[in-house]
Amino acid sequence: MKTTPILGLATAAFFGLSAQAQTTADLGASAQIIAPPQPASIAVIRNATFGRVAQAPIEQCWYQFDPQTGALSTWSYGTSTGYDSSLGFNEDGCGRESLSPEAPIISLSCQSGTVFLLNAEQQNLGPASFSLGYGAEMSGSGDIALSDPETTSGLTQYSVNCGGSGTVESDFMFGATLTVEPNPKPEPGAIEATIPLEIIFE
Amino acid sequence: MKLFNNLSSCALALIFGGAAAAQTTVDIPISADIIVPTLSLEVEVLQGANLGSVARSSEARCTYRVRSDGEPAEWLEALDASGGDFNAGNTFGKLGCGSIGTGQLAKLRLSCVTGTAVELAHRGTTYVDEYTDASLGEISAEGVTSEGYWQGAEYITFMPCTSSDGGLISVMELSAEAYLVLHRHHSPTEQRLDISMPLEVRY
Repeated sequence: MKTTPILGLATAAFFGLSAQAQTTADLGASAQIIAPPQPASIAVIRNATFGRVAQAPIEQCWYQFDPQTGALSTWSYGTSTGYDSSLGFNEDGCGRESLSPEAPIISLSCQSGTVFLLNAEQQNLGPASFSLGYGAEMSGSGDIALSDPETTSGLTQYSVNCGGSGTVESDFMFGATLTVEPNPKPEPGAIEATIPLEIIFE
Repeated sequence: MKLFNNLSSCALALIFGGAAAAQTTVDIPISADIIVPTLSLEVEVLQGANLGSVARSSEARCTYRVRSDGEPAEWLEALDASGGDFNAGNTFGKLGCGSIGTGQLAKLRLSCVTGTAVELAHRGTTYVDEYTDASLGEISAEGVTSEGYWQGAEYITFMPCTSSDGGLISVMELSAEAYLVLHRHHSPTEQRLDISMPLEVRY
């Protein structure tokens, strides 16, 4: 029974010491700051090159890439041949010479679950107007769904839906179209333009 | 716990602060060289049609033609007014129609823009004199499908201009059949006939 006051004293002394030394604390925390994954991005893999194509005296001429094969076809109203991918000229005077045309290729990258619009503006230069058409996946994860194009007032729009998981990426070849009006007559030399392509988040 | 929440918020803010670098627009370079092709078109006669030696009958009208009909490529045929069949050359019908020798198709060289359709037009019968007239028949090119029909006073053959080498200009060799009609003459005489039959080519 004698020991009880001594223990009580010792306990009181301990609590007295603790209350004096610790009224604040520094708690450690760490984080690694990284570049965030982009919701979606776009890059040009290959430019579009139509090569030498004809302006007809009377009719409009259409030159269009097949987005699956990259073949360039000629078409004009009233021809029995329809879309013709061979070299030479049709009875309207539309056609192309033997230079190697190249369809445009675009790379799309996005996070799974991202949905956005892709807008492409038609470009008009003299007798020529350039626009984008259907897109077909050439290579990639297969998780990016590109809708058929909808064109209104020179603006072509695609809906893009990114599936899969994490960051997905695919390359798409586009069926670019060149329309050549019979007038005005072209200036000598190649016509060069750019088609602006923009990602729009809804 | 509250302190942990505050630190988490701080870290997230720093991460999203770096998102400004996302590339969401590009310009696709696009080019074309627009040409105005000259739709050149030329035709050249390599050789005229030759019907060899053919008879004029005092009894009947005789029609001869040199035609392309597979092998042999050129036949000379005669039809007398009795309605007999066309026969190969070197035969004489009972009414005095017939020929000696081998016929020869007319040969043409056509230069045209590859891929176009060329019209070859002729006017049908060419009247030499009151006893003689001639006309062109089918115009063809080996391996090429053409078609022809009458349009007013013209017979038009549509010939697709094709090239085997993929060049801009195709050079094609054409064959043309020829007809010669010798009307009956009470006293036929030997003569040499050189007949010119106009042919127009156009797109």
